Amino acid sequence: MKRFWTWFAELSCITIAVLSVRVVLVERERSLNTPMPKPVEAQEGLATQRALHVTSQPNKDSKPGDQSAESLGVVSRLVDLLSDAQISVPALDETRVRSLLRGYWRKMHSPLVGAGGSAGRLIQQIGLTAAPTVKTEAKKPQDGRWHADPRLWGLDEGTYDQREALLAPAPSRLSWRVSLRERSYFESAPAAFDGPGEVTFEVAIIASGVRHVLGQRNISQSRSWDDWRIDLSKFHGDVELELVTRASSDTPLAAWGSPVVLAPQASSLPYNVVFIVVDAMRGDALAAMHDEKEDAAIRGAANPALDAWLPRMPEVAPNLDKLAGRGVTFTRAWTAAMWTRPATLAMLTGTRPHRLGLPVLELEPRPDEVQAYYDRHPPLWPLLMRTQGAVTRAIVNNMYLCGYVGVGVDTGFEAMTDHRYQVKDTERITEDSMAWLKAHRDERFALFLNYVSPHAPYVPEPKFLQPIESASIRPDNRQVRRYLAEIRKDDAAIGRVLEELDNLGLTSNTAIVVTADHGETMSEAHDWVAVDVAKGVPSGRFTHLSTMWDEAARVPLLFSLPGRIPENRRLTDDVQTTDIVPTLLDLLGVPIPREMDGASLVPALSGKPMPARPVVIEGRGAQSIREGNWRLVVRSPVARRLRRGDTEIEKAVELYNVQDDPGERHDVSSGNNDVIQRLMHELRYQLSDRKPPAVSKAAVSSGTVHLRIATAGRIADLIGTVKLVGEGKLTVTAADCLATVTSVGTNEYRLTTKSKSESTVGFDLLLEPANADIRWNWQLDGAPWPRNAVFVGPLGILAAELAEGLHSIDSDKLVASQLPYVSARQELGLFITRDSGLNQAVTLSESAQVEAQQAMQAWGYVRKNEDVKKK
Amino acid sequence: MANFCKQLRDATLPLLLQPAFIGAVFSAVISSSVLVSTLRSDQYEGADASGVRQFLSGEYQGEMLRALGLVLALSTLVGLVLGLFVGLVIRLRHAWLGRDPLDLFGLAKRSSVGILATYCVVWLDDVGARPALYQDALYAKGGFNGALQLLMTGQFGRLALWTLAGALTAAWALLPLIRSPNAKSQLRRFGAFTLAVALCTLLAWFPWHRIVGIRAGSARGDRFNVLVVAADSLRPDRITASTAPRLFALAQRGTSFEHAYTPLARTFPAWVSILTGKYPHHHGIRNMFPRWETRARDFEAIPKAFAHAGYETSVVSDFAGDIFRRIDLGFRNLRTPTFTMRELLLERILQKNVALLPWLRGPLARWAVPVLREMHVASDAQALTQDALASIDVAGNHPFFLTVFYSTTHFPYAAPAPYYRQFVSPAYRGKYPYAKADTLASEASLTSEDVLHVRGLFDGAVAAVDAAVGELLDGLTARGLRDRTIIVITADHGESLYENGRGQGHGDHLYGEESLRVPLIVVTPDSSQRQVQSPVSSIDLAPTLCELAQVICAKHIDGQSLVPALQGRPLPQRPIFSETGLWFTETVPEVPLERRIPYPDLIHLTEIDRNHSDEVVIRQQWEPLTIAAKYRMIRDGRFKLVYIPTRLGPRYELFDTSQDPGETNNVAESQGAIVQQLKPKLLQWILEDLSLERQGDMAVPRSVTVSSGATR
Repeated sequence: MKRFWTWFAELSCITIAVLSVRVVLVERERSLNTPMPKPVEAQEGLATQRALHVTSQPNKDSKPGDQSAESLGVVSRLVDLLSDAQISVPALDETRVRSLLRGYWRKMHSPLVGAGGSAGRLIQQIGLTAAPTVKTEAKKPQDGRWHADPRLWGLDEGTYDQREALLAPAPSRLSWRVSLRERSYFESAPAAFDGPGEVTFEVAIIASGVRHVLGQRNISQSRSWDDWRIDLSKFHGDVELELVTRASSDTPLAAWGSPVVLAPQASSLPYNVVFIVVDAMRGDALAAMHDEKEDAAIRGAANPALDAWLPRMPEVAPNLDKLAGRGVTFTRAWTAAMWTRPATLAMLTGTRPHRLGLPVLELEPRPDEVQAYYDRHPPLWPLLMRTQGAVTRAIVNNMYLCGYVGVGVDTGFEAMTDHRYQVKDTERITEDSMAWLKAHRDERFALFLNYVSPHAPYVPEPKFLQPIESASIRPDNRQVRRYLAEIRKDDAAIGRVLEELDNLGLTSNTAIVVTADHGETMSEAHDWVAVDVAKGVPSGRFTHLSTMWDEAARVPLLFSLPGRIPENRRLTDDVQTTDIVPTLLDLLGVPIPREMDGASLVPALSGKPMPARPVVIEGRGAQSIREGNWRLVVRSPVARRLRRGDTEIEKAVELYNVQDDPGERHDVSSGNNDVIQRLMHELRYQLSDRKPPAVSKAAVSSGTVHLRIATAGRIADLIGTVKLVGEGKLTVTAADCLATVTSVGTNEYRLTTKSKSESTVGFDLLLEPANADIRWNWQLDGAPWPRNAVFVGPLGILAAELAEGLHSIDSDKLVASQLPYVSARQELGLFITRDSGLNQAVTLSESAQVEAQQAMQAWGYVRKNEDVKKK
Repeated sequence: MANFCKQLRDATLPLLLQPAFIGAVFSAVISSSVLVSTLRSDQYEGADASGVRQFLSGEYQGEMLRALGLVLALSTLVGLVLGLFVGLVIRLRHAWLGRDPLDLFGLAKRSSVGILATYCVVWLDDVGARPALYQDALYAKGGFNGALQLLMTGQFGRLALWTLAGALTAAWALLPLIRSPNAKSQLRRFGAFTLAVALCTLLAWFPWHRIVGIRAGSARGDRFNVLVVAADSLRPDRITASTAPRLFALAQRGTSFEHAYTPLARTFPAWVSILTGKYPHHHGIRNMFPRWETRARDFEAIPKAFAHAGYETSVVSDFAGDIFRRIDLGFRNLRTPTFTMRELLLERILQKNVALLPWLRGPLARWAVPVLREMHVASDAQALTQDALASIDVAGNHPFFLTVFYSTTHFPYAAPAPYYRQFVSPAYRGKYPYAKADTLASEASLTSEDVLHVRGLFDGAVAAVDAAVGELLDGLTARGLRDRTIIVITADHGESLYENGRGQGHGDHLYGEESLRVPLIVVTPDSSQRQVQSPVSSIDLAPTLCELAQVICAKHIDGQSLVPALQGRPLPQRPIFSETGLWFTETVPEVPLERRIPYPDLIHLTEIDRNHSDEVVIRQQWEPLTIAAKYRMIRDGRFKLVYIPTRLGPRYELFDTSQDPGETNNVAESQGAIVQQLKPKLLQWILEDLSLERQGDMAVPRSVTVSSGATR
């Protein structure tokens, strides 16, 4: 009997063990509570989801500054978590909101962040300004007066303080379930917009059923955002965070500006970033950017550069030169575009400007172009930093970065202050950034500063002009000196910011980049202006808007990060501003999105040679490529008419040998056709895109009509005659077939070919002018082509009236379209379409795609039949 | 040297001869040999597989290796546990027989036999329990393999197997006891063992969660829970007392809408319509392969509104429910599979591994290998019910909005035992004994026997789902939630099963009721049996639920609330609209080329979006064409008008559904007046699609497409 009980005890132990395993499993099953992967990538890991390729990992041995381990990062960005929030907000009165637009603030629905739908409408990019009125007018350069232009807004002087904000018209209650760590903070900048009364903003935490009010503020008629940080360190674990607005009067509009929960170690980024751009600062204005070898080569060139390149002048930017001594300088850095919007966006996205959907030629993008930009989900640096838990902030004077301005687009900063002043902007930006750094020194941040003093007009203060006055410069010109003095002004300002970083102990763990969006044309010989592009601008000198010169394309590029980036090193690789963000991401250990065109310069920073890449620069109506000694500029028709003083010439192509002629004075395009062909091919390749280029307005003088013929799987003889009626020119090319094209008269051809059983054959007819009338006549195996087998447009719909030809290009049915799908083995038909980018080219990955599809099909996810199998 | 070898042998031999090691090696070897033969012989249904394999190993090498590694690791683990178990049993038997401990070789010998025997029993059992998994490997091969599977799937196959196995085990354990001299004490020991095992089983498998669950359900505020139960392709005429007794009984307690139709008979668009109350051209999901830009939209689906109102929103599904992760409909908890190339790869490799499959059953396996949810031929409705009940428990004190979507009724109609043989003839020896393989190629040679059998398989799948729904309802009752929950039974679409000379499937055409009509049964706690004859659409469910639960939903929806009908009041008369889905090939039997606008077959129509989780999406280039080429229909009263765009212009076909319920007789010629009356209504509905414009009587793609963001 004793044995029995021993056995029983033993086995009971096993029973209990099994039981506890089961309990654990059941609990596990219950907590298996998978969250939905958000389809909108801006919300969740733009970098992590898209980037499949990482160039190199960050140096794990590098020792970031002491405070970095404790740095506060963003744990919860409440704007991104709106779909998980409990929301109680009164309905927005759109009429009132619209009437307020005329007032002192601007808003737009945030296109890059947050949720969609009814809750998403609460997320707005709101810019507040202290300026009493906002001019809905723009200053036109012709007469210097203000002209009403509804699409340009707020070019008046003033500070425009923008936040991504949650609208919370009182009385409102927004609450989130958040999980708090030790030493958490809540941070937001509330604002109230209308109504005489005050709005009470209240932040509360509900922990274990008890509501704790953590702070209250009364705000009315805000002119800027009211920064507010609340200590949450008393609470741990899962709590409910509640944001409440209340008011005595009826529903005043109120908003929470970029509400976030911060906690230590919430960001994986090892460093902060300060990214400084100085608008129109030439590369050679910095002494540090001069490479002695290159300077000597320029001086000793066969054709002297004369005044195209500035000499080395240590008095212009002493602070930046000092910064260069603390890091790496790329002496041959080139912008990706010749003016601010495309250049800055290219910089912030690491992507060539033409791929962003926005025009490089026109200053004002059309609404559909702006939409195209947003729809492409550009890999914007601020959005990438945002997903890494960093606080992102821009302090600029650059309206192109504001989405609610007609000429600008949203760039994804959660907070941006636009100090839009002619003169005092530099001071404001500097003060503002120093104060901001001080207040946010304990956070992991990505700060973007954009100065603009060297941009025309040059109005330097005497104290900055004075040291330049005495320097010996070439060209010795008052305007050049004033321009350099403006650089000195911004240099001094940047010096103060860098000093503040030092004082705050942030230098050791902050990556600093300084660059410019483009340079400025200074040479007297480069006075040419593209008349049709820069309308009304008298000269190309002291501007950059319509010129394509090296001197205006070269920009400074300094990187500094003590301990990680070597000190006082100068590199002469050809690099572009599109490489900056990939480099920063690489330094920070963030995967580089695949769609970026730029490459990480981290290998170069550590002394490895970079592969030679051609430099491609996009300007307004012109593109340029620089490879080896050669620099080619290709002008589209709109930018071909060049004027200098009273001289006017037309140029489609320019070629310079920049080794012999660094000043770009001798166009050698006439004697070097082979070089031009090669470079043009390379340029086209570099600018080729996954989507066809938009048809430019200038190109409608000719048009192509596509004819495709299928003969129901039979191989048949096809004979046709095509004739252009009236004045003009007709060019015929065979498509997908071998054909005999015989000219039988003026603009009349006889076409002979055989059809194919598996695919269509056909001809492309190039018509000049595009709306010329044409006649055709087709025979199938000697018999006239059946009238009921003539089809038109993208659907391929019967159009018997086109059996004899095309009377006008404006025929209703012949809107520009892609060719329809033709089942060549089963259908008999003549298919007609007009040109609209025949996007049917087989891409390189096509075969791989088909293979993958076949796998899908073979596995039964796709139904199949014998037809498909044969393929 | 020899000494060293001896030492090495002495050190490793005890390890190598351990039952666990033997089991692991055995299982790994069998599994990898199956793996190798799969990889080598995989013909991919007659297509040359080398290109596919090359592509996969190039583009998805990492995933491929991961999948292979996982399969091997799982097999090894299974073998390890099996070996441990067998070894333990053998040792126990020895211990209670009072014999001397076994030497290594003796243990190894015995456990090898034990492992092999256990393995065979489990495998054979699975062959009978989930025969669709083994249809290709056994039945289709014929001969011994085929006979084996027929044996196991026979009426008494599994019963015989377990009886035999049980008898042999008992004999092995007890016979030595009886012959032993001190049998009495040994029997006592054996009794203790059996008692402990019985107790252990009782304690371990007692439904604790039900007791816990009742507590969870008791305090849920004053709001009703919402439970939407749907089965893919479930036809309303199959909800009968014999095929679906539980659903049939439920229908007796609520309102059945006898004429409910889906707006698009394909799963993805249909679900989005159900949950948004919008026609497909208003919510934007027009086919199974929407592009990322479309998927990233806000659909203003009702789960989101319910979530904002404080509901815990969940969805539970298996393979057909992979759509729920592809867009955000507002569900906070998802227990659904994913739809990506890498997951499919793993699933494919698992599905072919007939050696490992028997062990991948039950919640533990599904927890460890989530991709099992994606398997078409092994969908387990009962497991889904367990997931659904777990979701209800997760909701805690919040009211819940739960969608449970069963896939078993979708082809290949692969129901597990005993359902697969409930409605079929046991004598059937055709092509689809346990599952309707997914090919069109062999359709031509289908016999009437095949047709009957496929219908029987479908009915079996319905019965499997019905049993699972029954369990779900019981679980609800056990939690005390039955009278606090609004229950809806519906389907995404119906299924054509060779009626009226048409094939099997859904979404290709608009003829007949089979694929377009869906069940729609709404049971509220206070409702009684009611049948509504007015035609309604799936899009009406969303506003109905919002009104019933008093949750504020999106304003601009196409559906109308059915609450009046639930209260016995008449519904306003209005037309019902539907459209077709994507045609996957150029030659769909019901849609010949001369009666459609051709577009490429699926392979050339879609691409893999490497930027967004490798989803298969339609190519932008062809999307407008596929939208313009859709058939559309209006049903107003007894007449149904179908719009068929062709190269020669639109064609209209009219059916008098009261005279001609099979819809085989086009009366457009004789009933011209009706056509003229319905045509403007239909065209107006078609042109609500902002991507189309009118050209004559035809809807063609707009020359300048309206940007989706233009209203922003």
